[in-house]
Parts: sequence; C-alpha cells; structure tokens
Amino acid sequence: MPVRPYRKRYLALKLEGSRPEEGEELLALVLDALVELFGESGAAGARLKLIEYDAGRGLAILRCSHTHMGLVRAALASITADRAGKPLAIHVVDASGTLRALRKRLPTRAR
Amino acid sequence: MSRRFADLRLACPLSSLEEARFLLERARAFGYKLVALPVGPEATRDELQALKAAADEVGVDLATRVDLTPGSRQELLSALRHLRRRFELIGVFCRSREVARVAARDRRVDLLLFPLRPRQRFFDHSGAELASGSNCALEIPLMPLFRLPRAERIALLGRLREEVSLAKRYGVPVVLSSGAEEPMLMRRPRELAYLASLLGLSLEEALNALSEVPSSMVERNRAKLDPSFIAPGIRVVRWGRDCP
Repeated sequence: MPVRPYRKRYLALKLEGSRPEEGEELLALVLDALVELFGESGAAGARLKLIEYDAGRGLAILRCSHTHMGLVRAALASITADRAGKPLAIHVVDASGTLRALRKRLPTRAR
Repeated sequence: MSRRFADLRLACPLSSLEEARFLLERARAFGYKLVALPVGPEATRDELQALKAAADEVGVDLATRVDLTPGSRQELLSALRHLRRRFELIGVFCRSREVARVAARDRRVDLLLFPLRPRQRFFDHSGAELASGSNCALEIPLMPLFRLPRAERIALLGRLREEVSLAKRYGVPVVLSSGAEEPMLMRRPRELAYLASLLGLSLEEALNALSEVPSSMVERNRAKLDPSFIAPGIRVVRWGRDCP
C-alpha cells in the first residue's frame, strides 16, 4: 500500500505590527527566517505554501509538512521585524491537519 | 490536565500601572497563568501590592521578582540578605565568574542569568555542579537572541546549547522565559517551546521549562515566605495551648 512521505499541516497565523501588503512578501519573510535558522535543506523539507492571506485583518493560513512543523513554528516565532526593520510579530493561533477544521475553528481562535 | 504556563521574565520597562496591566492582559491572552515582571530592589511593598492587585483583576498569578546585577561577592550577599524575604523570586545577572560561583552556590538565589556575549557567560562545569546542589535554575530569555546581529546570534546559540547540555548533565533545572523588552516581543508558550529546539531541548523538556519548573519554583518560595514555614518539610500547624 502506498504511504505518503509526509502529511500536511495547516497553521493559522495572526500578524501584529507592520504587516506585509502581499502574500508573497509574507512567504518570503517566513522562508528567510526558516533558511536563516535551519538552512536551505530545512526550508526545502518544510514544503511551505501560503494558502490565504488577509492583510487587512492580519490573518493567514500556511501549509507545511508535518515533519517540519516544529521548524516552521520556531522560524515564525523568531521573526521580530519585516524587511524594512519595522516591528512585526507572527503568532500561530491554531494548527490542524485539515483546512476545513482550521477554518471552522479560526473565528474563535483568532480573536 | 492542561499545563500552567509561566513567563518569569517580562522585561518591558514599566512607567505606570496601566502599562503593567496591559502586559498582564496580553500574557493572559497568550495563555500564561503565572507571570513575573522584574522590578528594581528599590520597589516598595505598596508598589508590589499594587502590581499583585492588578494581576488579580486581570486573572493571572503574579510572582514578585527582583533581578540583581552585583559587581562583587559582597554586594550580592548583602543584597540577598536584604531582599530575600521581600520577593518571591530572585534572579542574579552574573557579569563575573566570582559572582556566578557565589550565586550558583547560594540557596537564596533562584535564577541565574548571563550576558548575551558568549565570552561573558560563566556557566561551566563548576558552576553547573554548584547550581545542582543549591536548587537554582539556569534561566534563558529567548527573545533577546533574535534582536542580535546574525554572527553574534550564531555564536550565542552554540554557547547556549553547551550550557543546556551541561545543565541536563548535572541536573540543573532550566527555565525558559520570553525576556521580552517590548510587548511585540512576547510570544505564546508553545512558540517559545518550539524556539527552544534551537538549544537542544525536546518539545517536552521545553514545555516543562515553561510550566512545571517555574511553577514549582514559585510555589516552593511562597511556602518558604509563609510565616508558618520553619524548614523544608516542617511548618507550624497550630500555635498556643491547644498543641498536644
């Protein structure tokens, strides 16, 4: 029976401070932090994908592999500023194995 | 049972009670049940009572904490004599080997802190052995690490890994705290626990360093500060003629 090499994990993020305007900027910021702490090998294994980003509310959903979720969460916590040096904090408010469950819980968790 | 998370070092400078209340509310929203805001040795009992009252209103448990920065052995011992009965937690910022040795050996010290420069950190084999005998913990504030330039951070992370490994070897408790110098640097307990993987701690060890270790330290000290405390394991249960 074929076995998946990794399972998906969805992280609900809440951004505080100087939020990036575009999703690409946010993803680049997270990738930079991941590469800085764990190298390109760690970043490659994380299989990051930004599912959605609402700059106005400062909410985002990020997908990663379950094997690298700890690394991704460490990288997210280590971000203290955006590329211009303005203060930024990214908090993981929830994590789930399915997007549906995450979206269902998000309104209560992201308050 | 859910963990009772603690952040024993919210190091934001406070100018008013409102700012303290804001920090405490933020800490509670992040899931902390126990918080310490380090104050100076000159803080009065009234100021500490006001902070405790604000924490009660917000719904978090506040441990009173003072951080000492002694320049010599005499300064440290004198400060400990005056302050031990006033504060629930005493942290010592060790800037010299002499102070680090005395602080590690003294049972009145709860937390050992070191500067962010690897060469000025004096937590070695001897320090770890002394600390293991006196029950004081090695405190690692995590967030200031990420404000350092890259080269300094890499050097410090290497040094911290060695210290954590020494602490594990000698059975010295490790306490993780945010060390947040501004509210934006505060992080949820699980985020700090994942960050601690950089120091060679497993997730379980990191969660303990953010919950069980600090909570039990505060409880032990509160028991010691209680007027009925005589010695570890001995306390006054009843006074007066009704004692058999």
